[in-house]
Amino acid sequence: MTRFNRREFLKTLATGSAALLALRFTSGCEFVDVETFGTAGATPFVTPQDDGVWFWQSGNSIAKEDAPDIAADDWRLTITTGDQELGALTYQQLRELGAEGEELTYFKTLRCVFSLNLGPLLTSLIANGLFTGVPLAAVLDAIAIPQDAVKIRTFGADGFTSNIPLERLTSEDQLPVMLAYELNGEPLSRLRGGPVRLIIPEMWGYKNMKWLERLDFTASDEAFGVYETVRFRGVESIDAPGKMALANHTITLAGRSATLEGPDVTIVGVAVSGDAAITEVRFSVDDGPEEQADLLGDDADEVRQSLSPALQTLMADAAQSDDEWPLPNVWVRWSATLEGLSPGSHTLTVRAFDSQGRAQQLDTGDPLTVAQAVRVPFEISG
Amino acid sequence: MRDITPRIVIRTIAMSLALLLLMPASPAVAGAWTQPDRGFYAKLSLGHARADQQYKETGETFQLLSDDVAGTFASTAAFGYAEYGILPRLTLYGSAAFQSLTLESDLQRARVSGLGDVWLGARASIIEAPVVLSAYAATKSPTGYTADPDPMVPTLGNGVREHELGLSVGASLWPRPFYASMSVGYRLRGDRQAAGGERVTMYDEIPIMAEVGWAPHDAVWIRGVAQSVIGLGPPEALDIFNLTPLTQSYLKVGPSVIASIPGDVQLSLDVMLTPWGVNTVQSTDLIVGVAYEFAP
Repeated sequence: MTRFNRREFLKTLATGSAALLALRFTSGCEFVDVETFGTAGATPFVTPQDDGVWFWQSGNSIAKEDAPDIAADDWRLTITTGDQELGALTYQQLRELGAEGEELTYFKTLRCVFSLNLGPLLTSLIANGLFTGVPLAAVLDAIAIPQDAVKIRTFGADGFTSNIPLERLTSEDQLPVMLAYELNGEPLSRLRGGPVRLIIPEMWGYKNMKWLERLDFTASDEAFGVYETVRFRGVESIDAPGKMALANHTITLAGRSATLEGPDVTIVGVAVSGDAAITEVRFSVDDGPEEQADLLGDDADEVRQSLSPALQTLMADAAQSDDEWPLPNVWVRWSATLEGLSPGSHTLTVRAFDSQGRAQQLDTGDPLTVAQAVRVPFEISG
Repeated sequence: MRDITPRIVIRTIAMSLALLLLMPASPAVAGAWTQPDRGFYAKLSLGHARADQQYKETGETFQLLSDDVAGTFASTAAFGYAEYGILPRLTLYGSAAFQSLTLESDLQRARVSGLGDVWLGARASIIEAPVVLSAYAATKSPTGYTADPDPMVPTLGNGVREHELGLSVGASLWPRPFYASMSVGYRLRGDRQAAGGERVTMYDEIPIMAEVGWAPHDAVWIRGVAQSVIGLGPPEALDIFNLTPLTQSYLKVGPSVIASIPGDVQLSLDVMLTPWGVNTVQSTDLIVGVAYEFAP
C-alpha cells in the first residue's frame, strides 16, 4: 500500500470532516418509513365499561397495578385555594346531591391526546359512553369561590394534575362539567377513574381527571398540569382550550398489511370532534370520486336501537335530546362499502366534516385541531 | 380486548429516544496506545443490536413497549473508524455510523436510516513506559438527521454537540500475551432548541471503558470489554412526551475475539450485553469488523 503522506492525509481529513459536519445543516438526510397498524374488532356505539379501549392509564405513568384503589366510602374531594381549605365532599354527599335532582347523564367520547401521535389507524385510545354524575357547579354552590380565581387546578390520587378555566363552569352553550360516578349505568370502576372522576364534554382525556381528590382555585392564569407543563410543554392549546381535535380513525383495516377478501368489502371507523358534531364522512378509493359513508351516531333512533334495553333507558335520561343529534363531542361510527375492487393494492381515503364547518384535508392537518385525512393502504386478495 | 394505553405510547416514544444509547457501543476501541508516526488504522464494522426489554429510571426492567404490548427494537449499523499518527505521539481519529433503526410493535413499525453523529478526536501519549498513559479530546457533531422526529419514530442522535476529555492508561505484559487498558473521560453535552421551541439541555456524562486481552495464539486475541456511561443528571421517567432522554447510564460487557490474517488485516467479533442500565434499553449487540493497520 502507498505510504501515507501527512499533508495529503490532513487535507483529506479536513475536507471529509467539513463535508460530514456540513450535513448537520441539511435536512432530510435520513430515510423514514412509518407504518401504523390498526386494531380490529366490533365497535359498538357505547363502549362497555370493561372494554380495554377505555384507557385505564394514569397520566402520571404509574403502573396499572398501582392505579389508585379508592373505596367509595373513602373517597373525599377537597376544595382549596392554595393552603386554605374551602370545603370538602364525600361520595355519600355527592350521591345525595344527585338524588336531590342534580344528577345528569350524557354521552361523552373520551379520546386520549396521545392518540394523535399514532396515525390514523389506531382506535384503542378512544371510547364512548354514558356518564352519570353531578355538575361540578352544583357542588360548588356552597363554596365561597375566591373572587380573583380564574382557573381550577385539578389533582388526581395518582399524582396527575391538570386544570380547567373557571369560566367553563358557567358556560351555557356547553354541557356542564361533571363529577361522574357512573359509566353506562354502572358505578365507575377503579380503572376508569372511580369512584369519581371529572368529565368535561369537549376536552381531551387528560382534562377529565380520574381518581379526583382535590380542586384548587387559583388566580394564576399560568399553565398548570403534568401534560400542560411537562409532557406537552410549550404547546399552548394543551393548557387551553384542551379541546379534542376533529379526527377520524379506521377500524377494519387492521394489521400492517391488511388483506381483505374482495371484490366487495365494508370498512368501518369512527370520527369525533371537540365542541362540534360530526356531520358527514366521505371516502374514496384510489383517489377516485368521493362518496358519503353511512353513519351510526347522527340519528338518535338508530343509536337507540343499537343499545341494550338498560342503555336505552339510560339514554332516555340523557341531557342530550333526540333533536340535538348528531351530538357534539360524541363519536359517529362510519361505514364505507367498497364494491367491485380488483385484486391487488388499493388506498382508502377518509375525511370527516363537523358542525363548525371544518373538514379534514388530504394534504394538511394539525393533530391538535383538525387532523389530516386518513389514507390507508390495503390489499384485496385474488 | 387488549389494553393499548397512552403509557404504551409514551414508553414507545421514550424508548425510541433511548435508542441513542446504543450508539456509544462503538465497535472500535481506541485504547491507550497512540499510532506510530504516520501509522494508520481503519476499521469497518457491522453491528446489530436488538432489545425487547428496557431499563426504567429505577433500574428495573420491563417489557418493551409496556406490560401489555410487546415490542422490539433493532439497530443495524455500519461503523467507520480510523486513526492516523499525525505526530510520533499524537494520533487523530474519527468515527461515523450509518444506522438503520427499527421500532416495531402492535402499534407501529418505524424505520429510520441515515448517518448519525460524527466524532473527531485526538489522542496524545504522555507516558510510554512502564505503562502507557495518554490523554484524549474529542468532539461530536450531529449530522442532518431529525433530532425531534414524530413521536414513536426513532432518531439517529440527540442533536447536540458533545465534547469529551479523558485519560487512558494501558499496560502490556509482553512477552507474556496479556494487556489491559482503561479510559475515563468527561463528556460535556450541549443543548439545542427542540421542535416545540424549548431548550433541551443534555446532562453531562462520564464515559468509562475497560478491556483486557489475552493472546492464546500469535494470530488470535481474546478480549473482555466493558463500556459504561454514567449520566450525571437525575434519573427520570422515560415516559416523557417529546423529550430526548436528558440523562442515561448503562454498562455493556462482553467478550471479543480478534484474528489477524495476512496483509495486516484483522477480523473481529464482539458480543455485548447490557447487564445494567438506567433509562436505556437492555440490548444485545453483535458486531463483526474488519480492520487494516499500517505501520510505516
